[in-house]
Amino acid sequence: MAPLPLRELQSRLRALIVDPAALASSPDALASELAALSIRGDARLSAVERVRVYATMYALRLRDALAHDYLALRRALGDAAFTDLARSYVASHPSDRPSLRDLGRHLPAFARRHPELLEPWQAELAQLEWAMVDAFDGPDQPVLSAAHLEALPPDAWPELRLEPVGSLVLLSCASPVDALREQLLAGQDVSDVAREPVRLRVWRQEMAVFHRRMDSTEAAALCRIAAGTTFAELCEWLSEHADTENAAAEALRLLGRWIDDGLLVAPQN
Amino acid sequence: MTTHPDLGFGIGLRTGHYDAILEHGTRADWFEAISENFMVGGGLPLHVLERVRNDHPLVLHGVSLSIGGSDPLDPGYLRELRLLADRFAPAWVSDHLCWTGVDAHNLHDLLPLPWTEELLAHLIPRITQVQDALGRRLVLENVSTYLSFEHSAMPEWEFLAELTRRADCDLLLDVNNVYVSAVNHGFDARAFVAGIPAERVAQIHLAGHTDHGTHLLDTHDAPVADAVWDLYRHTLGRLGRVATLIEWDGDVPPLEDVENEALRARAIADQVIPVPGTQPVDGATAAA
Repeated sequence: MAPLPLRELQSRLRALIVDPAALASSPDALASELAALSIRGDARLSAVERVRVYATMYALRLRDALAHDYLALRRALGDAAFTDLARSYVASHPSDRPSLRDLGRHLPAFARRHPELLEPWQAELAQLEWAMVDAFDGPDQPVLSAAHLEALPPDAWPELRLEPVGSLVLLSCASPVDALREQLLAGQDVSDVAREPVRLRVWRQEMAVFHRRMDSTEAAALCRIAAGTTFAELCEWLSEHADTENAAAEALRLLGRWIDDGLLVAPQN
Repeated sequence: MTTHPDLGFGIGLRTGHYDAILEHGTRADWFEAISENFMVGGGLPLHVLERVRNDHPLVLHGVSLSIGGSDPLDPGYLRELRLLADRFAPAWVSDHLCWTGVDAHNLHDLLPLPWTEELLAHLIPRITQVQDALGRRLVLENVSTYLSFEHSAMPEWEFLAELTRRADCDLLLDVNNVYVSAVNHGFDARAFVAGIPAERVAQIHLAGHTDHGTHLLDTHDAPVADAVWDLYRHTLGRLGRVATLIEWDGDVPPLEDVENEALRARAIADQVIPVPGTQPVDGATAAA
């Protein structure tokens, strides 16, 4: 039998490695395929067992990579269910990037599409965990400081446009997934999850990743900032919607908090 | 003998050791960083790499080049690797002689190749493309394998000699991988070491493996096995002093334990090839 061209050899060997059913096909069909691939067995290991080494490692490696990024979700599901989730997810979203760091990027959306695999709060937990992964090694940016604002001429304030750092992610969840995550990571069981809407922001400040709850005013204000609203427009919106008599003071209070947390990008000179 | 700079005895840069390295420094001479882990926008990984690079030689070691793959090489990946190399000025850039995926599906494994003329003809222009993109010579590592192909036309070491000569690339000799593959396929590990071109070896890897009875698995989750230390000693006898690095990726122990493995490698090297004017350290006896 003539050896297969390299591309065909690799495509067919990949099929055996990534599909658990492929190595469970009929012995005759499998033997014929392994002969076509010219894979040799010996007294130590048969050809099937040799391919199975790679198939086993493939499943374990990708599951472990997902478990690294979704540690709380793994605790919530337990090892067996998480392994099933990983298998389904990887079959649906095989890796197409050089780094395993990117493998889990579609999992929150996958979780929402598969309620038979994950409860809604678990899908929200996945969303929080992935936002933290993304924030961890996102681009470094100089952040806005109080000194920047103090140097701003008074007439520049109304048209001031503030820019959130690239790592900032705003989440609106139906369950308190931040608290649930802490419980799971502390080794506590989580059951009977209550519906308790929370708004969260996830971001990185220097080298550390944080998440924090927001009230509805702060969440809406940050959304507006991210959309490019000016400081004057923000004050106007606060005067109409926030529970405050002094919109400018409320805007400055929010601004101070965001500066303390390193949420805003410094102006470019 | 190798003509590459002897960086001494290094360790792989791993996330679990970041705090210890930043706080206390290290007894290792140099670091090897997994290239893909640092192809990111910013944050802690690049911060740590900068700190490490300020004080130590560095090598970039990739896992997803897929030089033996049949998909075209990824130009975006090569651009990112070049940017990383230009920023951190590694002593060299290495990856593996393997394929990692096909049809745009990355399996994130170091998959085996058939040692054929067809493969040589396939690899040579790809290596040239990589070397041109990086502006430096590529260093390729032999991988542990668990299957082989009946149509391989030559042993792996002959293939490596031919490849490095025709593609003008260099070698990262993973001594643990030689041992693991020798056991799994029943060849003589010392014949492998004897067959490779000594002058092309830029670096040596050492790592632990797991014995599954029927086969050895390259797990990087244990101390270097005694048989691998023996093969390392034999290898140094042929190659002379070569930059040596300890890899430890699973069940990663405290930094001190990995450093101790690097010091054990140093003790063996000092015993096999004494540095003029120095005495071998006691660890050489323990490692014998």
